[in-house]
Amino acid sequence: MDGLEVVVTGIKLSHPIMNASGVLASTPEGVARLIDAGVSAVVTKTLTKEPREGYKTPITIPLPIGLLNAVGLANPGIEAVGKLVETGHSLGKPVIVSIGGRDPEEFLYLAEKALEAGADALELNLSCPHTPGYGVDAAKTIKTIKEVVKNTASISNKPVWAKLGYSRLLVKEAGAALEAGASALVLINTIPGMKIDVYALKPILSHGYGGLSGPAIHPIAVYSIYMVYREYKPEIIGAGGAVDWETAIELLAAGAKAVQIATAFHLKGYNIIKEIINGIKQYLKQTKRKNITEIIGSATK
Amino acid sequence: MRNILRHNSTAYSSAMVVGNKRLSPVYSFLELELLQDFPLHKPPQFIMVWVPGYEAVPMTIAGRRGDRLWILVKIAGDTTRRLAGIEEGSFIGLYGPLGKPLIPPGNRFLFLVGGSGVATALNYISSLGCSQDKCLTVFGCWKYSEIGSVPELIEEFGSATITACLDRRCNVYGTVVDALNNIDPGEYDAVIACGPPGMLKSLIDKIPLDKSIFVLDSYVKCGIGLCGSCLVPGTRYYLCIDGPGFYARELVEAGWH
Repeated sequence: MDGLEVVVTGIKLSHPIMNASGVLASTPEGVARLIDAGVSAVVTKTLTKEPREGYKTPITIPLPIGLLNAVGLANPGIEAVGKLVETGHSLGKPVIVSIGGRDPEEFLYLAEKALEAGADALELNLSCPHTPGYGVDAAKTIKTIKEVVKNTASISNKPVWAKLGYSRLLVKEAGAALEAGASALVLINTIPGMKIDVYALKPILSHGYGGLSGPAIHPIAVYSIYMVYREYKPEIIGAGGAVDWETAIELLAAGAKAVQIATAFHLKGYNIIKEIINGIKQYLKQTKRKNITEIIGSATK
Repeated sequence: MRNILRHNSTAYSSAMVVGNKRLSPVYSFLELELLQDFPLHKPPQFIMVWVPGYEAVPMTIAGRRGDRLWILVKIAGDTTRRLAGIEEGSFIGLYGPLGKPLIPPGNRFLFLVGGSGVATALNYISSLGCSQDKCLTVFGCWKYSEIGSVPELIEEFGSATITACLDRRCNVYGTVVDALNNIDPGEYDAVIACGPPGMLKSLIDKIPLDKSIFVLDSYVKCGIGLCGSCLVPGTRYYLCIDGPGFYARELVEAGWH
C-alpha cells in the first residue's frame, strides 16, 4: 500500500491517474498502450452509433499554452466496444466507456451496448465543443442534460459519469446531472477556441474552431471543480491541464477524486503517468500524509 | 508546468514560399522562409505542412539554415499537387517537429529510397556529414520520367547516386531491391531505407537488420500521439511518437506486417 489507492464510484483504482477520453483508446492496441503507460483505468474514445471519420487535417495545433484540437469525434463506432473492454480487462484494468449520442434515445442505445460489453462505468460526453449534433449540442439545456442522464442511469447497473464543460451555468448543470442520477461528474472538457494564421488570414483547423486543452485551461478546471465540489460534494474526476504532480494535486485539492490527462501525453510523452505518480508519492512524504484521499477537496474546507 | 511553457519542443509557424523548383513531373523542391520561431529538428523527424484551403500533410524537412527551410514534395494527392505547383510569395503553415530523432553511428551510409522517402534521405545526408565517397543513395522510381533532376539534388546534398527504374535509361533496370545485386550493404556502417511499405518489406532479407533503419511513411492525422491513426500495422508502435524511424530488427521482431 503506497497511499495512492482511490475508490471512484465503487471502482477501485491503484492510483488516481487515468487518461481522458480522446487519447488512443479507439483500438485494442491503443488500450494496451495506455495500460503500458500506467493508467489506473482506461477511458475509451467517445463511441458513437456509427463509425466517424472525423475532420480533415489539420485537426490539432500545438500552442505555447497548450493544444487546440478539432478531431470531430473520429471513432470506430459502438460496435467496437467489445474488443476495447476485453483488452482492458485482459490486462487487469477497469474500462470506462465514453459514449456520445445526438439525443437521449441514442445515448440509451449506446449505453446498452457498452453495458452488454462489460463496461465498468459509462462516461456521457455532454460537452465536446466542436462536433455539431454531439457533445454540447446534444446537451443544450439543463432539461436535456437531465433527460440524458436520467435515461442512461435508469438502465445502468454500473456507475454513470457525466462529463461537463465549463460554462456560466456549470454549477446548475452539475446539480441537474447529479439529481438525474449521475454517480460522478467529469470536469471539465476542452474550452472552445480558434487560431488564425496571420499571414494566410484563415483559421488553421479544418473545422475552423476546436477545443483548447492543456496548461491554458488548468486554472479554469481547478475553479470549476472547486465550485461544484463546494456546492454538492459529489464524486468528481478532474480533467484540464494536469501535466505534472503539482497540477494534478491542485485538481484533487479542489475536490477531484481522480485525474484524467490528455495533453500531457503530447507535452511530456507516455512516461508522464509514472512521473506524476512518483511526484505525488514524494509530495505525500514531504507533507507527512499517509493517503492521497486526505487531499481530496481539502482546499474547499 | 513552468518548464513546459518554456521548453515546448513543438510549435506552429507560418512560412512564405520563396522558391519552387520543379525537378520532375512528380517532384518539386520548395524553399520556405519561416515567419515565426520554429524548433530545430533532427532526422528523421517530420512536420505537418498545412496548405490553406487544403489539408495538412506529413513531410520531411530536407534541410534548414536559420529561417530558411527546404522541403521536397512528391505529388500524391490534392494537397501535395497544390504544394508542388505553389507560387512564390504564397503562405503556408507548418507544425512540428514531430516524431523522434534516430541517428545511426558511423560515417559510411547507404540510402535506399523510393517515393517521398527522398526527402528523408536528403535530411540524413546533410545531417550525417555525407560526401560522395562515403555515402551512396539508390533512388528508385517506376518510370524514368519521374526521376528528372532529383539525382543531381541528392549529389548536391553530398551523396553519390544510382537510379533504378523499369526503363533501360536508369543505372539499374529494376527496383531498389534489384540494385542490391551489385552493392554490398555490409560495407556500410548503416543502411537507411525510406519508401513505401512494400519496398521496405522486400528489403528485409537483403540487408543487415541490426544496422538498418527503416523510415516509415504513413497516413498521419494529429501527429502528436493522441488520435491513434498512425498505428504501425502488427505492432503497438505509433509512427508519430515512436518513429518514424525504427531499427529494422526492432520492427520485424515487434510483428510489423
